Amino acid sequence: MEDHESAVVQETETGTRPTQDFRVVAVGRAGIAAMEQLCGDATLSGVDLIAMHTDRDMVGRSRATFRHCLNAGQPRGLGAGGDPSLGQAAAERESGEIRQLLQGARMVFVLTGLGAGTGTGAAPVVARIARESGALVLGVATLPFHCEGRLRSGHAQAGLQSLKAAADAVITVPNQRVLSMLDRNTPAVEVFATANRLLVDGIRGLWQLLTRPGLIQLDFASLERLLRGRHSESVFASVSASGDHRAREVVERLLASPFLSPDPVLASADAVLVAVTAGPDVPFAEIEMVLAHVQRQADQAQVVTGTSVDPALAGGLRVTLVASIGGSAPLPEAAPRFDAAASSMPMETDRRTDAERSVGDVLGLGTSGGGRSSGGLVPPAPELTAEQRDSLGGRSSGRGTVRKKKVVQSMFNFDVVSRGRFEKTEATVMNGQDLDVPTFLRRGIALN
Amino acid sequence: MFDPASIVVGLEIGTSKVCAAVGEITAQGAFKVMGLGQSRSRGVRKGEITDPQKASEDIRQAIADAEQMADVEIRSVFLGVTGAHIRGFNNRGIHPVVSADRHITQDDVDDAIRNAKAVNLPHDHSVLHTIRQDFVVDDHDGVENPVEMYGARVEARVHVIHGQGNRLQNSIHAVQALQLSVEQVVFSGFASALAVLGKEDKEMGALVIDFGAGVTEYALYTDSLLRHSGVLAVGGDHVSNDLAIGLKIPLGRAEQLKLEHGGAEVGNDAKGAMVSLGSEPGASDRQVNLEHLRRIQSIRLEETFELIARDVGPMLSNARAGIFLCGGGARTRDVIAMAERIFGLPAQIGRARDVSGSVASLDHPEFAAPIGLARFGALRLRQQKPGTGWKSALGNWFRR
Repeated sequence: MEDHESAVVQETETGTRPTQDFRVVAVGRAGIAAMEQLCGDATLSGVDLIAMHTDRDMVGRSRATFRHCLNAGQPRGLGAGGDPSLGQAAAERESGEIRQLLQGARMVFVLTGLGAGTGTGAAPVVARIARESGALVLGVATLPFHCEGRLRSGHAQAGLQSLKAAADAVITVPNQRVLSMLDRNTPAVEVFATANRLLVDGIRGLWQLLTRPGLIQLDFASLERLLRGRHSESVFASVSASGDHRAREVVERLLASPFLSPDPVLASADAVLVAVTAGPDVPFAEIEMVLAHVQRQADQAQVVTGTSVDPALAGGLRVTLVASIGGSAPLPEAAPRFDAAASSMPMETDRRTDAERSVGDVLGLGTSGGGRSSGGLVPPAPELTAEQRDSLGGRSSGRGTVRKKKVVQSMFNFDVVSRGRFEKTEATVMNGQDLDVPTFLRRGIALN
Repeated sequence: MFDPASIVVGLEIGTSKVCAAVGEITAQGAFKVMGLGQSRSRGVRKGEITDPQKASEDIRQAIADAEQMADVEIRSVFLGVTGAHIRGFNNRGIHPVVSADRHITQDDVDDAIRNAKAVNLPHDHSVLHTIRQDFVVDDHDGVENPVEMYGARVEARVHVIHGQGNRLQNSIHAVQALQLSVEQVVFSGFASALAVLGKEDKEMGALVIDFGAGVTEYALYTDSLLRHSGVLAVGGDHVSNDLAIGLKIPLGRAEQLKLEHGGAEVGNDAKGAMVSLGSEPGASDRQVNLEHLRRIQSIRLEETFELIARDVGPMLSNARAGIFLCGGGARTRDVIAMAERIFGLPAQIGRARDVSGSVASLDHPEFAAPIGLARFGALRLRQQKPGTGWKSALGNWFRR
């Protein structure tokens, strides 16, 4: 620890640049704390871990391979102090360096805790830069406990909106849900550790999914097709079970998972990624049963499945599931602004005119120190619409983590070819082909 | 007036038309077609009745039409059936000759045939026809009639055509509802073959393909024996449906375009040509690409022929008389050339043979099945009337 302390840096610490295809960027304190669990994990040797924070000390203590200290403009390398606008401004100012850290990556996980300063403000910027450099960006974020107050909830929701807009998909782990899955007597340390573990498990599960040779290989391309450009909010669950009734248990636990249980998440999901990792001795019928069950639950969704065998998991089954909800319409790329004033008043009571909302206000210039350079200009973000603001405000005043209820418009499935004249007759199936479907369609013969 | 006993009526409830053929056995024993009645068919899809009410109306219409034309009263019909559920296969029955001198009697032959009929069918299927092929007497192949021969073992080879009982009942009930009795149900593909193949054609071997609107039936004869039969539930409707989907036009228009401009091969004249859909009031005149139309049709027909060729298998090369195409699909332009290309055999349009009569449309390929049905009835009648010459020679082939 001590030697790291002395090596506190302004820029990327090591001279080399990250080279791996997969990179995990931890933004902010919560992100770095979660990433500590990934550090030293030998199975993740093909992943570059990047720590990023406004607090110089925290960055210094991280065991990540690459560390980058964002300058929040505070003296002595202090953090953003819970002000997302500072975090955002710092990340924008140093976008060049961040871009260099993310150059060449195929997939970037942005690991963060939303609600405070750096993570909430900087993570969307990092995600945007990563996407601009061509990577598939998956945000993995915790949402604050209810008891952390409306301010943090509001920040977290605004941050989530902008992270969703910037990243291809965001997996959220609401801390309140974590709390509800734990025993009441669980010590505080353990609660946080559990939340962190859940975050990290998501990343680890996905990483293993993509790298471990699977029986039904889930490759990067299918993940990319599933997530690219969806800007969706996802939930994540990873459960395991062993013993005689593991297949049934694992399904029950999956459905009882706090992230899936209260709302019919699977039923309303439009994309579901499910990966089953089984011990070498687990019969395929059980894997099939698990997958079939998930398919049945998520009948509206595009389901991508993967299966792999893990020798370490003898006699056990582990299911990793990512379900993304809504978000099919891409949100505007730019993030909603963080009002400095929002820290003093709830959003729905924000009745200031546009003129009062100066650019300086947006940038948080008034609260920043003298360290701001010319590179610190943040592109003005679009206003939150009244609707968005209402929904944000409503959320922060009510249950902190109520997922936004979207009006789901059903779509026609254009893949299905009408059977036309043969609608009510028995299908003429021969050699696995439905002969009622036009031959030129079945043979894929293009006219023109 | 005619002797009612000499009148036979074949009724085919097709997907596009219901057709009744009235035949007469003349005093000389010849078969003559006296009248044809037909009606548009509305309650049938893929050769099977889907709307009994409409089907009954159409049958009534066709029967009335035929009665008027032939000036007879129709009381009973030989009913043609088809559909994807109908299948044919070859079976054999063995009977050991028990008599001390190994003299084969008619009883031995009957026993062998009875054994051959005891086939293992799906529980809901019933046998339509058991058609005798030939006999094997002690490894001596190809015996036509083993009675009076000597041997230790008689093996009868038969071709069994069977269909699902309930679905056969649909057609029978539709006819019976009109106070008509059904003499016998006959597989339409078999009837078509009966109509279009002459004695020499059967000897040389021929494949009859009845390309109807809903289904395509086929029957293969080699050495005068029925070797293979089957139904493919693909027909002219499929072509129209393909065109409607591919050219994005209504089904009715697709049907009309198919008849006016369709063809089995794309052809040089179709390259880049456009045909007009014909404008209707209030709609602008649309044009469709003739090449696309022909290509869609060509691909479907090609696939259908290929499926038949695959089903018939290597026996096809024994059909030296070639392919006989009947049914409405036989009228498709260039379809003969396509059949010759795919089957590698000479092909021709199958027309009703050895039929006399005043009806002008006798040789139209689409009437092969009803005429064949009437002819089947005539053969049965002869069989029932003893002493009419070649009864034993031919009638036995169609013993059920």
